Order: sequence, then structure tokens, then C-alpha cells
Amino acid sequence: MPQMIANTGSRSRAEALLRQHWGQVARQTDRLFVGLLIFQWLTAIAIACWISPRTWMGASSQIHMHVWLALLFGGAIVSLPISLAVLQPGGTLTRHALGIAQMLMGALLIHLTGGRIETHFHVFGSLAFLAFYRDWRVLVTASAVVATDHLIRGLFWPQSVFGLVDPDNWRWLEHTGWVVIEDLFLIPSCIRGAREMQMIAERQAQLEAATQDVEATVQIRTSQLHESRARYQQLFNGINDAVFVFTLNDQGEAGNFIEANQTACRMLGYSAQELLQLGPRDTELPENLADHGRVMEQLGREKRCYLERTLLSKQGHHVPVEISAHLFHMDGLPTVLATIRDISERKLVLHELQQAKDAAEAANRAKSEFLANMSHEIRTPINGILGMTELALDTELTIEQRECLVTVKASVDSLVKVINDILDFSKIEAGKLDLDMIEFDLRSLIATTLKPLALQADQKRLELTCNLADEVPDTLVGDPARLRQILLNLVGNAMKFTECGEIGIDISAESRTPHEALLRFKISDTGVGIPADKIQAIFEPFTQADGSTTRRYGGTGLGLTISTQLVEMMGGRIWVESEPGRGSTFYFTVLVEVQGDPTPRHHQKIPAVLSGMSVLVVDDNATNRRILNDMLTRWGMQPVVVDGGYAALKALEDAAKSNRPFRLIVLDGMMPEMDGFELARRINQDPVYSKATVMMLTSLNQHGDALRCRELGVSAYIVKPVLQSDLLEAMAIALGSSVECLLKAVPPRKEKRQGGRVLKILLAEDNLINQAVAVRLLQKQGHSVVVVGNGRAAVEAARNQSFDVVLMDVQMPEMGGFEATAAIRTSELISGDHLPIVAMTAHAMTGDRERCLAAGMDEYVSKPIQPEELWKAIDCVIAGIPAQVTRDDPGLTLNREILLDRVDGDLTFLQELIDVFVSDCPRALAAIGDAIAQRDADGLNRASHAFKGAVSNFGMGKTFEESLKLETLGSQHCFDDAEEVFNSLQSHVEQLQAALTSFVTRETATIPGSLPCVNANEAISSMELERVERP
Amino acid sequence: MDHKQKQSIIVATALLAWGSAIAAGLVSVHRYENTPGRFDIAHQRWPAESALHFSSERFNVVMLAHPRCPCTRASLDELAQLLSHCEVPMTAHILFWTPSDAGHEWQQTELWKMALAIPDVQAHVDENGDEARRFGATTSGHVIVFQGDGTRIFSGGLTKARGKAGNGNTASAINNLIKQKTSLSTDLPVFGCPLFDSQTHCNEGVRSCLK
Repeated sequence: MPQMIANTGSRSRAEALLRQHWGQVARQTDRLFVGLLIFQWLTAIAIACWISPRTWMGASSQIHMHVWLALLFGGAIVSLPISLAVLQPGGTLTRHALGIAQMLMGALLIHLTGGRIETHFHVFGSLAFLAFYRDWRVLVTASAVVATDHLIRGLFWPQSVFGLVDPDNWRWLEHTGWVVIEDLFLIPSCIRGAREMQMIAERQAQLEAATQDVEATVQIRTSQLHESRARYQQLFNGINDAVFVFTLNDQGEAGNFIEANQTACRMLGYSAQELLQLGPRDTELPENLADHGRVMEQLGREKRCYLERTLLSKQGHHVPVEISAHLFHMDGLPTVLATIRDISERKLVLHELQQAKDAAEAANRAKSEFLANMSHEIRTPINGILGMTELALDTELTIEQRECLVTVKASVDSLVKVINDILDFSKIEAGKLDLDMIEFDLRSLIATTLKPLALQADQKRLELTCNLADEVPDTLVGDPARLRQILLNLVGNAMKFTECGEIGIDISAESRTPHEALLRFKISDTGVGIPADKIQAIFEPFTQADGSTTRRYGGTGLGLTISTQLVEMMGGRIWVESEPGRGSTFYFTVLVEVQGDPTPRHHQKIPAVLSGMSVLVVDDNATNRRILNDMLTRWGMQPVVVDGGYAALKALEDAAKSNRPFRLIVLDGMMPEMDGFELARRINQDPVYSKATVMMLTSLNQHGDALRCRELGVSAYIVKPVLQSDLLEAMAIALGSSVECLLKAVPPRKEKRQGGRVLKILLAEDNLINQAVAVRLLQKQGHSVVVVGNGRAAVEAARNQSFDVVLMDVQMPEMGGFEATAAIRTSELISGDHLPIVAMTAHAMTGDRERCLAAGMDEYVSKPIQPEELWKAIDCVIAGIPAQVTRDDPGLTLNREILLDRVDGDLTFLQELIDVFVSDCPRALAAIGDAIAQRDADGLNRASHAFKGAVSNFGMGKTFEESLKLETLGSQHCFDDAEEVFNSLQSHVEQLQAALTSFVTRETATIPGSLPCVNANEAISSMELERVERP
Repeated sequence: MDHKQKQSIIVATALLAWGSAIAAGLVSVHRYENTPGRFDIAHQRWPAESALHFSSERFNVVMLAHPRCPCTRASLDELAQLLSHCEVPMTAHILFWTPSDAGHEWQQTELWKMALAIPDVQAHVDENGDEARRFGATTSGHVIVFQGDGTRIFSGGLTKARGKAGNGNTASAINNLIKQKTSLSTDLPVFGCPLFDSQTHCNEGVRSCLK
């Protein structure tokens, strides 16, 4: 449609142009003919005047008729067409009148020249001229006039037209024929000319249309260009940065600015015109001019440059700016576009920020110092409270006193935990929380972590279960202390928020390679749960699910924040799934390095005796039943799982009837209706069932469980939660597998307190309470201690005496620990010795360890002193140093810790237990001896088994081994070596009795009472019996 | 009547007037050029009082001409053609009328030179037209042919219109007359300027008068 309109418009325009051209040509030709006619008229007059100016009558004369003819007749001829040409220029009638007049003028001239044939050429010339009209009709008209003129005059006045009196009658036709011939050429040329005019008009119309289009486009483009230019100017001037454009000459020198925006003008105080008269050099400070060339050279070389500089404004102000320059080519010239940002405010802000930063750092330093000091100030009395409480608990106390002190100790532990949380959070905030990557045994770590929690769980009547998947490797490299911290936090939270039900810990390997494993820990509870809208908040610091729970359950709210940070540092993540009222499940993953053989060790050695063995598992807790069932099944055993005592008795009865009695019975100690002890009693009383080996799962909170178990014929008991390795070892022991097998299956202990060596230790500590605590702890380990109150005395003592280790407090009067260490190290430069120094500081801040080590100390412990940490530190520093006194009796060693662990640190109970053992030993030995003498294999087996169980409470030394041998001989009905073994057993029993009696005497004499509870699983896993000689 | 119609009428009227004027002019010219000059009956014999030499052995041709008559050029052309085509010896005289008070140069015109250029032609000055009167001629271009015995065989003009040379028909006719030794009894019209004004002509006793 637009094309059609365009075509229509073009056509009409072409027609208009054609009419215009026609008119123009016609008018021009009209004017030509007007001039021509006038000229011819004058010519006719002149010819008449020349040829026949006058007519004579004798001597008189008058103007010739021809002159009048030329004048008047010629005037008459030209009058009308000229009038028409003036009045109607370009009109059709005008050009026809002109054509007629032109032909008549020819007739006149022919007549005036006497019909000369030459004059006839005027006709052809006239036609040719008339062809200028490009209107063939004019030619026809003119030709008709010629023909008519020749016809009429030829007939009636031939000499006028032909110059002859008697011409041929058809001569007019001949003349007319020539005219027609000319017309034959002229008319087509006129038509062609008209067409050409039309084509020209069309082309011109098209050209005009195209030109209009182009002009319209140009107008639009020009308008757009103007708008673009305006926008560009608006943008250019609206840029908050100053923008300069300038060119570089061949030498790379900058010319004047060719563009500068208004921001540039404002920045430097010049008008735009003034700036365009300046160049970059003119805005430089005088001291920067020397560097200007280098900058331009750099710009020419690298095409871009960024720099900060100070420019000089017109008013002489210094303007600090940031310059970003870009070199490019514009119109073939190297051109620089420089964007300059005024950074005065930024500089000011930076300055203020720096000041604020300095102030903040100063405040932070002050805070850190405050925290350190507070830590020191708090830990020092706490150390005293804790140490003295522990010491007091080791003394003989009334029940009320003990309960008070136990409460004090628990409170101090809680307080220490709160302080540790706050310090950890402080470290997290400062980004200074570091991981201590060491090799550790995961299962041992889990065991040591969960055992104390098992006590708490038992107190709340909660079932604590743990399932550690097979694929989880044993030996890992990571930070066990922090991993323990996370577990304690999450399991502790679970216990805190769970009133009844169970808490399950499930550990699996989400992914693993030969060198790495991503472990996933799942801690589920049946507690109050967390509302969905609070789930995210609980990972925020100082936040718990809601205020009421906070008040109800207490806590700092930092535990999860710290755990989250620790998990992230360990390359994992932490999340939670929870349903209010039904419990929560926390998950976290950690990425650990796998050390050594990735295959879990308990997989390497599974006692063959277990394979195919039928075992009855009795537990009211479904989770425990499932875990135990899975474990036992994996070991090739054939478990039958029941949920209570009566069901167990029924199962036992069924097994007996089917003549497939159970070899092993695993009982949960605490069950409804009939607990494990009652069930054990009934089994023990039944001669059929009593042949089975009975194991008890207890919670260790019942004093006397061990004794009850022994009395009920329980071969072994194990503290829940049950770990696979613990259960395997306990079963192996209970079933009488070889000790070697077990030793291979159990990882050696990493911690080994001073290797049984007695050390001479220099204690540099100004605080009397701390002195007392440390001295008591060290002396309890059999070490001799020399105490000094400041660093100077320590240096003096180290110079005058020989010590194995120095325990150096960092903050002391007169001379601090760092200075004392430096003095000792200086003196060692001469002697070449190296005295191990363990720093003791209450700061416990990040960097303390590094600072101590940098000061020349060898190890570091934080206050309040945790005995395990101290022993570990001492072990570490004395490695390789020969012991001053080492006495070892491989035949019989008593591990005091194991003994106390067995009784939950209850020395009184231990004493009772030893007394019972000592008093019962003659009877038990007599029963064994009688059985050997009577070759009663069953009796030997039963008596030996019972005695072995009793001995196992005091360690697994020779006495245990020989009891086990006798039990085995009994079961094998073999009496060949029985007497020899029995004799050896008697001998070792005597030694054991003496050792136990001595131990009780010594303990009650020196430190009567019980020690803090230590990890029970370590007691089981440690197969080395030690006896440390005390000073 | 609207403007266009008025304009058309005006134009038509103008055209009509224009055509009429042109036609009238043509008619006037036609009448002028085809109107012969006034003439008298020429003498039948060579006038004895003529000062011209008469040759009895030849045919004598006399043309009376006005030296400034534009129409006589055609008559001279016809005369030259006559003389050139005549097969008998002829003596030709051209008498150019000259006023008595005129100078010598008065008759020295193009026609005089043309006359001298014609072979066997003698040009004479006919002062005050005396000889013309003797021969009875009043119009320039009047030709009179006498044979050797003095009798006239032709009298009249050689052209058929003023200033129009024609195609030599008259000269041929004269040659035929000479060959046949006959005469043309009637005088032919002469187209040219009058040799005398009417007053002079009448005062001097010319036999015919324009009036």
C-alpha cells in the first residue's frame, strides 16, 4: 500500500513536472518565436526598404507598397501571437498562433524577395524552430498554413510564391511535400522529445521522491543525530567523573584537550573554553611535571593506565584524583580518553576510616587484652576451685560433703565450658579459630566422647545409641578435640532438650577415597523439636528456639554457632531436620584425611569362634536391638533378638528344646518388668542356661553393678552406647578368645603418660592455689616438683639444679615466663643442653601457643590445667629424654586408672571390691584346684570362668590369662598342663593380692577417696597393666 | 457568461480580426502588384524626332526605364533574356528617365549598371523623358521593338506583374515575332513605376492620362 501511494504520488508529481516542463518549454519557445517574429518583421521591413524602398513617378517618389506591406502586414502577422505570448504564455493557442504567424511571416518574406527559392528555406527553418515546442500539432498547423498558402498563392498569384508567372499547377504540392517530409522527421522527434520529457519528468519525480525520501531520512537522521548529540552531551556532562579527551603527537606528547565535560570544568575551575586551550600538562602540579612524560610513555606503550594523582585547579587548589586513561585512534590520531574521579571525599573517608580502623583495632586490642586478662583472672580462681575440689574429692568425705563438692565441680565444669564457648566465639569473630590437625583414632574418640554422655543419658533415663558404620575408617587426621567439641555440643543439646526417649548417633562415610573421607554424623533425639521458623535462628549466636526454652534449659546459645564454624572449617556443613514434639535430627559432615590402612581394623580380625554362633540379645530398646542385630549379623553370628526378660526366657527355653542352646546372651541391664540383673540371676540359676556366656550392657551409674554382675556369673559388662569395637572385644574376652587376637584388633594407645618415668619438674607459678593444684597433680603421678614463685627464681633454679621439665607460668611478678625462658635458652647456648619448658597461661587466646613457642618454650597448656592436657604436653616434651628412674615389673603391673575407671572413681567401692576378691580368692582357687584334682572338666571350666571374671575387674594380666587357660583346658577336658598353670596362677594371684592390698593401702594412706571419673572404654581397650612406682 | 467564455470570444474575435487583416493585406498587395502601369498607344513607327540612332539593318529594341524603379529590375532581366535568345541582330537602347535638373549621378543606379552589363545594349539618359514621350511610353519597363523598316512589332512590358521576372514567355513571344516578321497589334500591359507624375504628364501633352 505505501508503495502504491508512493507510485501514485510519483505519477502525479511526474505529470505535474511534465506539465511544468511543457509550460516551460512552451514559454521559452514562445519567447523565442516572439523574438524571432519581431526579428523577421524587422527583417521584412529592412528587406522591403532595401529592395524596393520607394516607388517612383518621374522625379517624385513615395514609399513603396512593399515597405508598407512589410510594416503593416508584417505587424498584423506578429501582433496577435505576440499578444497571446504575452497574455497566455505557453498556451496551446499561443503556440499555434505563433506557428501560423511564423509561416505567414515566411510567406511575406518569400513575397518580398520575389519568390526566391532560397527564401522558401525559411519555411523549413520555421518548422525546425517550431519543433522546439515538441508539439507535433503545431507542426501540423504550420504545415497546413504553408500548404494552404502555396495552394492559394500558387493558383492565383504564383509569382508571389514561386517567383514565376506560370508555374506548374502542382508545384505547391511539391513544396508541401517537402514540408511533409520534414514533418515526417520533425513530428517523430517531437513525439520522442515529448516522451523524453515525460521520462525526464518521471525520473525527476522519482528523483525528487527519492530525494525527498533521502531528505526525510537525512532529516530524521539529522534529528536523531541532534538528539543523540544532545543525549551524548547530556550524558557527557552528566557524568560525575571528569572526562577529558586529547591527542598525542608523533613524539607521544599530549596536545590540548579537545573535549572536556562540565564535571571537568567544575573539578578544575576552568570554563569549557579555557580548558580547550589547555592540555594535561597544564593541570599537573609542578612537582609532577617530571613524571608526566613517563605516564604518557606508559600510556602509549600499554594503551591503558590507572593512577592516582593530584591535579592543580585554576584557583591553585590541589585536587586528588583517580585517573583511568585509555589510548585509542580517532580519525587516525592517537587519542586519549581520560576519566578522572575526584577522590577528595574518598581520601577523607579513607583517612577517617583509617582513624576508625586504628581506633577499632585499638579497641579490639583492648578487648582482646581484656578478654585475655579476664580469662586469666577467671581461670586462675577457677583453676584453684577445680583443682582443690578434685583434691578434696580425693579425700575421705561424708556423703553430703561429697555431693556438695561434686556439685561444685560440675558447676565449675559448666563455668569452664561457658568461658570456653565465649572464647571460642571470640576467636570465631576474630577469624582466629584454628584447627590442630593430628592423627587420631575415630572410634576411640567416639568412645571417649560418648561415655561421659552415657552417664548423663542414664541419669535422664534416656537411651543413648551409637552406630558407627563399617566403612568409616579408624585412623584419621583432623582435629579430634574440635570434633569432640561438636559431638559433645550436639549430643549434649539433644540430651538437654529430650525428656524421654532415646538419642541416637549414627556415623557413616558419605563419600571416601583412599586418602580422604567425608564423614556424616547424625544425632537424632526424641525431644521437644524445633519449630520450622526457628531452625535457621538456632545457628545464630546467642539464639535458642525460644525464650521459654532458653529459660527452661539454659545455655549460652553459642554452641551451635561454634559447631557450625568448626564444621565449615573442617570442610563440611551442618543442618537440622526437626518436627516440634517429635524430636530433632542434626546432621553434620566433616572432611578428614584417612591415615594408613583405610580398612577398619575390627574387620581385619574377627574371632573365628564367633562365626555361626547363636546369640540371644535382650533389650527393650528397638534401636539398640537393631544395632546389635546388625553388628552380630555382620560378624557371622546368628542373633535372636527379644525385647524383654520373659521373651528371653521363652527364647532360651525354645532353644534348649530344640537342642540348640545359645552360646552367648547379651542383656540390657535396665529393662521394664524384668531387668537384666534379674534375668541374669534366673539364667545363672538354671543349670541348662547357665552354660551360656552372659554379657551385660549397663549404664555405669549403679555402683556395684560390676560386683553384681560377677556374682550373677556375668562374664563381661559393657557400658552403653555400645560401639562395635567395644562389643567385639568384650565378646572375645567373655568367650575366651586369645589375647593376641584382641591385641591386634585393638589400636595401641596414643597417650602414654610419661612412659612410666618419674620426672623432676620445676614449677614456676606465682599463684599459691595453682601451685598447690599443680604440685598435687604432679606428685600424684609420682613426679618430684620444685616450686618457685617467679621467673627469676626459675632461672636460678634451672641454673643450679637439673630438671626434666619446667612448667612455666607466663605471667609472674619480677620476671615473666617469656623472659625466664629467654634467660634459660641463653644459658643453654653455652651448655648446649635443652631444658623442655611447658608454658602455662590463662589467656587461652589464639596466638598464645605461637607466642610461647616463639619465645623458646616447647609446649603449651592453658589454665585451668586439665590433667590430660598436661600429661600430654609433658609426654610430648620429654620424648627422647632418658628417665631418671624407671622400674618396671612386667609380671604384674596395676593400672590405677583402670582400676578406678572400673568403679567410676569410687575408691571406697574399689577397696570393697578388692577386699571381696582377696577374701574370695582362697575359695575360688580351691574350687579350681579341686576340679583339677578331681579331673572335673566342667568344674574346672566353671570355676576358672568365674575366677577369670573376678580377675578381669583388676586388669588383664597374667592372672587373667592363666584363668582363661584353665577355663579353656576345662572346656577341652585337658588336664595335661592344668596343674602347672594352676601353680602359676596361684603365684600370680598372690602377687596380685599383694599389689591390690598395697594399692589400697597406698591410696587410702596418701590420697584417700576417689578420683574423677575417667573414660571407661579406655579401661577396656587398654590391655597393658601398669604399676607406677610412687615416690 | 463566465470568464473563460469571455476569453474564448475575445480570442476568437482577435483571431478573426487577425485573419481578416492578413487577408486584406494580401489582397491589397495582390492588387498592387497585378495592376499595370498607365500607358499610351505607342507609335507604330520609329519616331523620326528621336535622337536615337535607328539601324535599318537590324531590329531595334527600345526600353524606357526609370533608373530607380524597383520593378524594372525584373524587366531588365527579361530584356537580357530576350537579347540573349534572339537569333537576329538587334540594337537595344535603354533610356533611363532623368529629371532635367538632376545631376549626372542621378541615373547611376543598379539598374544603370545592369543595363550596361547586358551585351549589345546601349544605355541612354532620357533627360526629362523626352524620348519616352517620343516613343509614347509612360511606365518604366516599357519595351518597343522595331524592325529594320521602322515599323513597330511589339510594345508593352516584359513582366506580368510588378517586379516579377516571369519565365521569359514574353521574350520568346518577341523572338517569334521577329522570326515571323509579324507584329503584335495590341500593346501589352507594362508593370512598373510611372515615368512621369500625372501633372507633368498632362502638362506636356501626353496622349493619355492617368485620369
